[in-house]
Amino acid sequence: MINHLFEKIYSLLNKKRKLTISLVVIVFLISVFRLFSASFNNDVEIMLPKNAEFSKSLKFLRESNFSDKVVLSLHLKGEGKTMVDLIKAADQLKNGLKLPFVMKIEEGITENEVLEDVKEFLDYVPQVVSEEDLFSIKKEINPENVKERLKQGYKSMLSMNSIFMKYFIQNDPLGIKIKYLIKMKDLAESIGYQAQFKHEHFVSMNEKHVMLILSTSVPITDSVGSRKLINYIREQIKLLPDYIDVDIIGGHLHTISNEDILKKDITKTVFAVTFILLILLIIVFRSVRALLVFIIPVVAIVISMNIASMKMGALSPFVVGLAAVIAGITVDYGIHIYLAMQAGGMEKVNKVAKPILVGVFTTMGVFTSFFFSSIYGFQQFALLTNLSIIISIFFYLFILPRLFYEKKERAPFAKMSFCNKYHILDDRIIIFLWIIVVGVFVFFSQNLTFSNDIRVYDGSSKNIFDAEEQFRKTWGADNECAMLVAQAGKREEVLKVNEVLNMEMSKSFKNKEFSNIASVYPSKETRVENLLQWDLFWKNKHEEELKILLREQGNDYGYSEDAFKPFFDSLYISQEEDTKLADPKLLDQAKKRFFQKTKSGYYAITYFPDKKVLVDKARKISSKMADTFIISRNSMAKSISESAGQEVKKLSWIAGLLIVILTILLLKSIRLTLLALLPVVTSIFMIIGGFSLLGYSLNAPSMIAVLVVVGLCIDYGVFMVYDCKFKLEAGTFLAVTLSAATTIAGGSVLLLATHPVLFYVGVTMAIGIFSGYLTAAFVVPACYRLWISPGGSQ
Amino acid sequence: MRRVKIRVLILMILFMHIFVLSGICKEANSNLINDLRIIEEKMSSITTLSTQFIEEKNLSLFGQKLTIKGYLFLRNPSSFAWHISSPLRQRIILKDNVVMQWDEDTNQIQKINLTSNPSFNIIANQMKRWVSGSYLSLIDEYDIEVIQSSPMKLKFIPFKNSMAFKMIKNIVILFQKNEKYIDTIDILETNGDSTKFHFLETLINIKLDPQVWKVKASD
Repeated sequence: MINHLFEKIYSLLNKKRKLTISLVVIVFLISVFRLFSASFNNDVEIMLPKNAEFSKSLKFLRESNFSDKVVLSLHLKGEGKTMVDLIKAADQLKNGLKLPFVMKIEEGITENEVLEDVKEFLDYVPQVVSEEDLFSIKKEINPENVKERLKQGYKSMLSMNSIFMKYFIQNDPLGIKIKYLIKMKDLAESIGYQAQFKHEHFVSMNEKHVMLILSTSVPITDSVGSRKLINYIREQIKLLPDYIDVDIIGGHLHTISNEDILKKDITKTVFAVTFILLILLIIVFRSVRALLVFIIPVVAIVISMNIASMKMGALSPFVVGLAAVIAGITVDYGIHIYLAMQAGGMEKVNKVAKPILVGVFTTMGVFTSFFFSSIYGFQQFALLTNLSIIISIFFYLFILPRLFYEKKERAPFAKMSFCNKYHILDDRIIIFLWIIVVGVFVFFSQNLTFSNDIRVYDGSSKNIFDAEEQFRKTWGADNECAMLVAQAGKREEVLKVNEVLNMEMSKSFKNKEFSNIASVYPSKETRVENLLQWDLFWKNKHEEELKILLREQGNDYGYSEDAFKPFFDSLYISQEEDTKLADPKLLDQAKKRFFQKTKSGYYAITYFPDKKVLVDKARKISSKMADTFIISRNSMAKSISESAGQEVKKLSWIAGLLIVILTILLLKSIRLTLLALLPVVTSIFMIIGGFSLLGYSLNAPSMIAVLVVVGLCIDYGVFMVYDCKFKLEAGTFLAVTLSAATTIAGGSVLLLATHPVLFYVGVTMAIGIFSGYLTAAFVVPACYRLWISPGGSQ
Repeated sequence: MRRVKIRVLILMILFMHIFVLSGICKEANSNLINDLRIIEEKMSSITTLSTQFIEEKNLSLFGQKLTIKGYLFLRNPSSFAWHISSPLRQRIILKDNVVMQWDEDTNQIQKINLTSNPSFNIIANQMKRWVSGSYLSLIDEYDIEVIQSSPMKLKFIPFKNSMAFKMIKNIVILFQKNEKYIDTIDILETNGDSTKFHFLETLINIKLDPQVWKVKASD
């Protein structure tokens, strides 16, 4: 039936040969043209399992201004220049960076403004003093405490910083307000940067670096925009004097670098694979026309990528990176057909068509399982691989023979049936050796670890990581923070949720373990309430009581009669200011970090160290509050790993099931199916044991590569079983060997890749295919001879 | 036509004035920089310094004048000791990026790392600048005027955008007759408070007793 169908298609295509070839060339050229203008989807979400928490976190990170920022760290090169020169350069750069790329540059506060802002903040403090705090203040109004405070004030007047301290002593003799100022300082420090504000700039503590924080209009996932933005910044940097060096820090650099490295790796891989294939072509096939066998997968991939991107949008560069591997997969079928043609023309092609189709269906079965994944990138991978296989097999079966058909037998070696004619070792010895080797790898496989580090997807160049390391050292940005985010549609609502969150955090966390702005920036409703309480408190004799105590105790240190007049003058807020309740300017910096307004609403952020114990505590709090969620890199990595693990497990089951069912259905024999699956099982154990021996952890990319290996090894198994059973004499052994060699070559080339994802895929492919091939080529025939056909008959 | 000519003439005169004035300003500025450079050069020859000081504070906070006496020790480039002997014994030692404080009342030593305490860093840097004569670096923050050339007397008026502007009206520094070190520093604050440092018995480039760098004073 298959032969009849093939004949029909052959004759149809033969009649329209020129048209068919022209059509293929046109489609290919259009695809190539489209590919040059294609953009890739660098968003990490495409490679993550669908999960409400990830989506929420990623949505927040995308919409908030965290990820779209670029930080520039300027410093002087060599000797002879001063801080003044550095500041001038920073100003020049600041003035040069403009829209549409740079929306805003975060300003450092001038020292002059700081003092003004401190005064304004101290006047604002009554709005944030809670009833509980007033109770503490009440306890502090006693002779002993007042005396101690005045003594401290007197001592500070003897010190170097008396000019600064005088203001605080006069305006806050009990140190009520300064406590809130210290809270503000803690909030500023919780960001992780150690900087001082000098000459209107963020200056490092060693006074050798100046930092500019740019809010950009380009999302880090926009690779084209990122490239334009970074080029624009670099152009501006070029205009600076020679003695200035600038480090650029930002996610955009990672986007560009990943894309560049992937493109370089892919180019490198394609060239290396092409070179290896050409060598094979010259040595084994000895025909220039055989080049088509290797060109077809490339044509198929280019066309598939276009179709896949039309259907599923911009492709993930990780998925595209696997294109070279897909080339290795599909070229296998071409080798089988080519060698069959060499062995006996169309008759042999028809003979191998059946095992080829079995191989195609089982391999497609593996990749089809990826459609069941909730990871969008995997679905893209499934479509890309299946399309690639379908297009390739169509070209191989129906176009290649028409181009190659020659009656003359050119390669007698292709006729050999390895299974029945050649025995290198005794079958029992082969099986014994196989058991020993697999046993050793199974033993080592127990030490295998799984890596949950999502940074494996980031293959940015070393100099980017070096610059970030240097930046961390200079600006002290060492401590990784997790975030507990409160979310609401309105500003006032989110502030209220944040107040509750702050209260809950205070119960479970130590004071210094978290930073929340609620203590200095509560909702307006709370601020109005606090002001009322504050007024009532002082009017309720506490003002008089404190005045008397300050006068009595102050005499001992020589304080003047009206030394604390500024404090009592600012005790009550005027009616007009009361209704305005304006936010003090000193809060602006903190608000930018602890408060976010996005198109989806308002967010208030609580920062805390990204440690498991604290994340667990925060998770407990968050579970009780509907409008909150946690963003923790460590916890997210763990959850992603768990989800990805479950995902891969699910896919493995589906793939395994599909392979077994398809193989049984197509081979119609349990025993033959078990033999065909032998290379698959062997390769899985060898990969696991091999990773363990090499000291690598198995990660998501390598798990996917395992499934690719499974898809290939089942082909080898099927072909060898077919060869043994039907004595194809169509060059099956040679085809399997060449297929494995080309795939191993492709996989081994990936070992040279800079990108970690491609590297791990390379390691997996090299180990898996090599062991799968050896099993298929030597162990499967040995088992067949011993188990299914002991006498040598079918 | 005549009007146009007059206008051109006025403009030319104006430009000439601007040109001449800017020349004068440049010259005055270069003289000042030169004077400050000379001071810095003289002061930079100081490797160690020991001087007694009397600090008189007229503050609205207190009913009476507050008089503080003590010693100042310097060891260039990065060590500085401030010993107060009355009215309360107190010591502040600054070495590299660390400040240590002690007073007889608490008898406790407080250690502050300047890299992690920006506000104290600013104060310590300012203090070091004033007593070490690094005035050239203050040219961006203060309008500096030479009031008297021998002995040199300088007046520093903070610029509007400087940190000191809201607190300090001016600072006047008078050098000793031999111009080797400062004689007095007068600080006039915007609210009328004033502080005067008077340096006496100044010894330059002598061997300092290692005890002066100990933060806790011995009885």
